[in-house]
Formats: sequence, C-alpha cells, structure tokens
Amino acid sequence: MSINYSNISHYGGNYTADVAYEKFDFVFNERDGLYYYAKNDINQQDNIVDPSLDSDNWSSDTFFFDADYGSSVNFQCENKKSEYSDGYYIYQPVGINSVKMQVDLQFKNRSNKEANAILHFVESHLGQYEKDRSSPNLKYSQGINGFSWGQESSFHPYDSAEINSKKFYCLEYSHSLNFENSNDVNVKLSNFDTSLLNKSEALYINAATAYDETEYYEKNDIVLFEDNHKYYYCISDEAVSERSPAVRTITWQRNGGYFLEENEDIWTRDFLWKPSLGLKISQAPRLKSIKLAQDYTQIHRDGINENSLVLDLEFNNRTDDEARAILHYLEHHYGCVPFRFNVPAPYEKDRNFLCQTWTHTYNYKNNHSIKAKFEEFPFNLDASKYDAIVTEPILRESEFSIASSISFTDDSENLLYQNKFRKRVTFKNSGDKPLEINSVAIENGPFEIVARNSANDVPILVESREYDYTFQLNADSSLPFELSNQNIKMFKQYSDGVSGGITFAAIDSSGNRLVNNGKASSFLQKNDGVILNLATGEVSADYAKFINEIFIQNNSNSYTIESGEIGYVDVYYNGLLTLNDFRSQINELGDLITVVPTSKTFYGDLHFSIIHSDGSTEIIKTTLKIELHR
Amino acid sequence: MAQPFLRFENGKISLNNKDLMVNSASLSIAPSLTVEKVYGDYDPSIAGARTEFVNFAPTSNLKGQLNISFYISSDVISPNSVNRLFELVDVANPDNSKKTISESPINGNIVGRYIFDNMYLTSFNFSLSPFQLIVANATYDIYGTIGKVADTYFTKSNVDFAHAMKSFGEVKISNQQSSEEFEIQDLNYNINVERNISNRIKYNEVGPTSVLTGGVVPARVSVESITSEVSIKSSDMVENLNSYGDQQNLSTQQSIPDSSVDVYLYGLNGERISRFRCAGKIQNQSFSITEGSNASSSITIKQIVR
Repeated sequence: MSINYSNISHYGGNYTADVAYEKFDFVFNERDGLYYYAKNDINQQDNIVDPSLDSDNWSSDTFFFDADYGSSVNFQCENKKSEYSDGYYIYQPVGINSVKMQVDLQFKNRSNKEANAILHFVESHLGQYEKDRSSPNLKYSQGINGFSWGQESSFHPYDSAEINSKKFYCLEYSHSLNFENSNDVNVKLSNFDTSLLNKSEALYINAATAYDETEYYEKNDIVLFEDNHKYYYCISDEAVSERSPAVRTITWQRNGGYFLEENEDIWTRDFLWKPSLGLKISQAPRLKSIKLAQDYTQIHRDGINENSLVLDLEFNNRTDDEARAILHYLEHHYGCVPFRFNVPAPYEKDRNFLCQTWTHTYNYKNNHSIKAKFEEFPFNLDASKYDAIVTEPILRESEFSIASSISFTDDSENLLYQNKFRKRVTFKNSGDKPLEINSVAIENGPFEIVARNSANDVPILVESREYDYTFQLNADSSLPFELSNQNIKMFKQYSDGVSGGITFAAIDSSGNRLVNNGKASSFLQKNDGVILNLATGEVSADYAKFINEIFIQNNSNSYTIESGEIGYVDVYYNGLLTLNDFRSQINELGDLITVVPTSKTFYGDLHFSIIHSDGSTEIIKTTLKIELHR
Repeated sequence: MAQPFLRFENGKISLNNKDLMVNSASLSIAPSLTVEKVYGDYDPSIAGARTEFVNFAPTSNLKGQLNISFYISSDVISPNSVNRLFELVDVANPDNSKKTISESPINGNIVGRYIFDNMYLTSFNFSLSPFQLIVANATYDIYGTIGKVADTYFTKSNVDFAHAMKSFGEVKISNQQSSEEFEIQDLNYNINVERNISNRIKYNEVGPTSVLTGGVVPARVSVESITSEVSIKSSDMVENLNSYGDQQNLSTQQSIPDSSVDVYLYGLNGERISRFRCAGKIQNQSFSITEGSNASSSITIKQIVR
C-alpha cells in the first residue's frame, strides 16, 4: 500500500498492466515504491508489467509538463562583496555553485487531470523516497529526492542534455482553481549544483561550440576559443568564416597575455546589445555630512567614484538567437567578472559593469525579454586587459631532478646474485620550462635498462600521460602459460620489491579478458622476472625478459618532459655476477687472505643527457647501488 | 488564377466541411504585434541618443473572427448540420441535458476563397419578429492562419425561407403563466461561450506545428462559462420585481422559481424543430410610451448555463 505524500486526491491507485491509461494519469508502482505519471494515452495492449521499463510512456523522476509562454527564469549570483575606500570594490563567488537558477513555469488553463498530475508530482518529490534506492555514487545522497527537468518541458535556450541531466527541486508552487476543469498552476524549479568549474562546457544555457575556421558565423553566434578558453560573441551582420577571434602570441603582453584579439569588427567580448526604451536612472551619490552646532550641515563628496550608476535594463522582444547570446554572456560573467557596456547618451562613455541578477521571460515564440540590473564597476578596462591583469611571472629554466643515489633494496627479502631485479627510477622536471632527454644509459655496473636495446633508444615514460596498455607478446617458446604471441592488457600499477612487479591479463581480439574454468586471466611478473599465474597459482621462471619491455617500446616516443611532469625509466640488475665477484683479498697482519662474504654491495652509474629549453645541454649522473647475497 | 472580383454567389461558406447558406459573412484575422525600439548612437544635433526601430515582435498567436448571418430553416437547424453550432443549440434546449460543448476545434472551414482550421464558437443569437424571417448570427474565434482555395459556388437551396418556419414564444415570470400579459412583439435570444486558451511552448516549437505559417496555435481552448440571455419586447412590465430579479407577490422571497422564456421553432408542417430556453433572473426592464403609438416595454432575462 502506498503512502500518500500529497494533498491531491483521486490518484489512479496501484499500477496494473491490464488497463488502459490516459495522459496525466498517475499511479503507484508497488515494484519500486514510486509514483508514475502517464506521458501519453496508453492502450491496454501497450502496457507492460513495470512502468519503470517504459520511459516513453511513463515518468517518475522527470518533470515533463509543457509550460505556457510567459514562463520565466531567474538568475542570481551569490557573491561576496569586498569594499575598499573611494568606491572601489570586488565581488568574489561564495563557492563554485554561486550562479543559481530558478525556473518559474506557468501552466495556464490546464484540465483537472493535468493540474492534479503536476501538483502530485511536485508534492511527491519534496522529501524522502518511499523506499531507498541503491545508488552507485555517494551513500549520503541515497533517498534524497529531486527530479530532472525533462526535454518535453525545458525550453530554449535551456533545452540541452546538460540541463536535462541536472537535479531540480520545487520549493514553491501555487494553484488557482479558475473554473470547472480549468486551473492555473505555477511551479518554481530550482537547481543548486551547477558548478562554475564547467564553464568551458555549459552552465545553464546551451553550450557554445568551439571556434572552427571552416564554419560560417553570423550575428549572435557564440564560440569558445579553445586556446585561451574565452567566449566570443559575433556582431557581424553577414555570415563570415576564417576570421578567428584571437591569435596566440609568442610573448606576453599587457593586453590579452599570450593572445591578441583580432577581427574586432566580427567578434566581441563587450556587452554590445542595445537596451529597450524605458531606461530610468536614479542616483544616490555617496556623500558625507558634517553636522555642526546650530544645525549647520556641510555635505562633501566621499572620495572618488562617488556616483556610480545602477541601471535596471530591459532587452525586450529579442529573437531566440539574441536572447541566448545575452543570457550566455551574463551567465559567463558570474556576477563578478566586469564587462564593458556603453550606456545610452548622455552617459555614453565606456564603463565597466557587473550583473548579479537577471530574469529571462519567454514571451512567445521567438520573442524573449531579459531584465538585468547592471552595477557600475569603478574601472574601465576591456576584457583583454582583465585577462592579463596579473603580470606573467618570469619562468625558470627547466631543471632535471633525480636522487643522487638509488638503492636497489628489499627490506623483507634478500636479493640473490643469481636473480634479476627490476626497479623503477623516477625523475621530475622541477623547472618552469620543458626539457628534452637526449639519451639515457648505464655507464658501468651490473645494470641494464628495460627496452634499451641500442644506444639510440630512450625508453622513458611519463606518469601522467595516457598510454596504450594493450599489446601483443612476442612469439617466444620460453613464455609460459600459453602466453606466446598472446594479446595482453597490462595494468598501470607498479609495486616495488622482490615480490612486487607488474600485473597483466590475457585478452581476446575484442579486448575482453579471457576466462578459463570460470576464472578470469590474471598474471603477475615479479621484479625478479618470475611469472605467477594468479588464476591457477602456477609459477614459471622460464622467461628471461620483462613483459613491459614491449609496452615501453610501443609508447616511448616523446622525450620531452613538461614542467612538473614526473618521468620514469625501468632499470634492472642483470643477474650476471658470479661468486668470483664476491671474493675480496684482505691484508691482515701482513697476510693475504681471500674471503667470500655472504653479501656485497655493487655500484653503477645511470647517465641522462639533457637538453634544456634554451638549447643548453647537461649530463646528469646518479649512482645505482645494490646489495646482493650469495 | 482567381477572378479579381468575387461575387456573392461564388463565395461558398462551408464550416466543418458542411455547406451553409448564409446571407452575410465577415472574416478577419490579425497578428498581435508589439514595437521594439532601442537606444541608438549619440547624435550631437540632439545632444543625446537616437532611438532606433528594431522590429515588430509577436506577443500572441494569430487570432481572427468569423461572423456569419443566416436564415434559420428546418433544413439548417437540423442536428445533421454544423455540428458544433448545434451543440450550442442543444445546450439551450431544456429537452437535452447537455451542459457544455466540445473543446475541439472546428476544422475544414471555407469562406469565399479562404480556407482555415482551428475555429471555436463563441456566440449564437437570433431574433424573432412577427412576419419576419428568423435571422441568426454566429460568431467564432479563429487561431492560426488562413489559406486560399479556388472559387466555389453555392448550391441552390430548395428551402423557401419565407415559408419554412413558424415560431412561438412562451414567457413565464417567476413560474406564472403570462402569455396574455406578455404579448411578444419582438424577441432576441443570445447564448455566449467564454473561452480560455493555453499556448504551450514545446507543443508549438517541437513537431509539425513548429513549421506551420500560422505558427502558434493554442493547445487548449477550454469552454468556461456559458450564458444565455433573452430580451423580449412587449406591452407590459413585471410588477413587484424584487432585488433578486424575481416577481415577489407575497411577503417572502423564499421559493420563488426562476423566470423563463421558451422559444419554439416549428417547421411548416407543424413539426417542432427546436426549443430554446432561458430560465433565470430578470436583469432589467423598461417601459416607454410615446404620442402616436402604443406603449412598449422590454424585459431581459439571463441564465447561467455553466
């Protein structure tokens, strides 16, 4: 039995598959404990056992009701204001979700059935779900309600997959019972989790596409110039192509940093839309007064910027394209990024403004009105100057950082002189500019580098880069477990020590992991070269190489290390020392005695040849040290 | 190509794909536009900003009206005629229990050379006078645009309007038979439908309607109140009219029934074609007497059907 969350009576009861339903019928589904709302008339023969399996005809968590013209959307930016003397101030977002949207949907002259469905929908999405639903994400969101604003209801310029996937809440709604079977319903939907971190994709307004030289653009088109991640708004009355909004420059400049804006007759970042008639300007200058005896008062200005403008602007009767451009522009200034706007004469000098609140009303098809409050910002800079308001720091030359000595050890297990032993050696470019590794080599000692088969090989990889971990092993009879010529997928993780190593799995031609006797393929090649079949427990020491050799060969094709990147090279003790190498002659009391100690430390050198960004070269040497036991 | 002039005989009127013999029809349609002007550039000659006209912007859907005037005959008033119109006739007939009419649009309409859909009846009225033809008027709201078709012709009706109808009016004031007192000189019957529209965004912007010339059409044109009103001209007024619109001959206003006018239309052969009733409260009455003529009075009764 369902729990009635709603004030609305006459809901359709529990869902059954053997009856026909009409659009806006709503039922309780005992299978998942949710209410479902019919999106269409549904014939009996079309019914299926569970309405959750028929999203074309039933909706549970998607608000699909089609609103009337006259619906509006309110935007409010939550910013913290820091005020300084002389009228200077800044706004800073209170958090990453500072731009808030509230959709005010008007449903006029709706039938009782539709009005009941709308009201029941919002009432049954106010609190907890009747039953907890398993969540693949965070546990604490389990059961907390909310719903999506479906594509059947969302309108231009919010009719996108991004907006349809956002979570909305209804905190306020009203109902007018006008006449028999005639109702007006007003529903306000709010979203609280749209992050400014998505600014290069989309916040609320339909996303702008990246600038493309081959595309034609016309007035009110919006592009994202991906090099500097700035939006540009087309002001050309004619369609144009191959007119880029900006170019990258070699040196940093005060206007635009590394980007020089061009084609300013085509693209702008100023607010160039003209307001509708009806502008009223009220001013309250910031003044100070001194009251003296005998009720004598003196008034004087409170410094400069004492009479900043506050404008309530209207942009009425705008087309779909113009409304989208204006809304996108305001949205992407977050109420805290100043922009340039030329106020109508006699206030016509270029000024900077901030806009923290605006309202969009969808009047009619291709007719939109936007009301916005502009506050004057006490600077007058164009957008490119704000981009470069912080002077570019002087970059330090690249710097190759590596430990001066690298020890091949395992705290829990002795390293035997007969066995190989691999170790990952990491290094970092701790400078600000990129460097290039010209060569890497073992200069002396019982060490070798994995995948360095000739002097020209530079088998280095970078931790943060994406590589292809799928490859085919060579045809090699020494490969155990039918791994010869086998496609494998290597796993990214590497663990240190004798028992550590690299895991991998055999895969088929489609990339799927092979399964044998119900167990998925899984192998570990330890750092001493031994391969463990983790599915069967079998062990083989037949293969003399390391399986990641092919992976390194396939992927080590760039030798440039960018600032901050960490690279690595796999070095291994080659297992070629003998007992003779342990023998030492000690001169004690004048006698020569040959001893064979149980352990002995051996040394080697790892050399990197570096080319810095300024063309200078450097040889970096690090000592390799390994304590071997006999 | 159509003739430059359209004669009345060539301008067929067809509603809901059924021909109608009318003596006049007027069709109008208009967009709802607003003017958008913005502040332009600075002009030193006026020391301020010029204003620029940008465009006319639509604020609501195309809306039109059709008014038709036609003679009532037993042929026209048949239930097989214009369905929606006579749904309203049914509402006015107390022999039917119908209290409302369909919200569906009347499609397939032609007036002269022009064709259109999405038409909704808003009023119907007729007048009865001794020795006069019964002329009825109907008014419709139209949404969306109109198209053009080739000229079509009236089919000659074999109905002789002058001898086709008999009429009879019966008046009861607060349920008191008053036919002798109220010799009806003239009678006007009106029935009006108030409608409310809903213009939905996605309904009009996704799917086939988004590309129609007429643009936005209402997703729903609901029927809200329906009122009927009858005005009769007679020679007498109602005495003892109280503030409730009833005739009160006793000391209490309790249990006084409504006043009513029943209008009966008969065919030439005596068959009853239709009955229109208005049973409600007296809204106003007047009396006048002039030298050289008899006294005349007017009484108006209104009924809230829905």
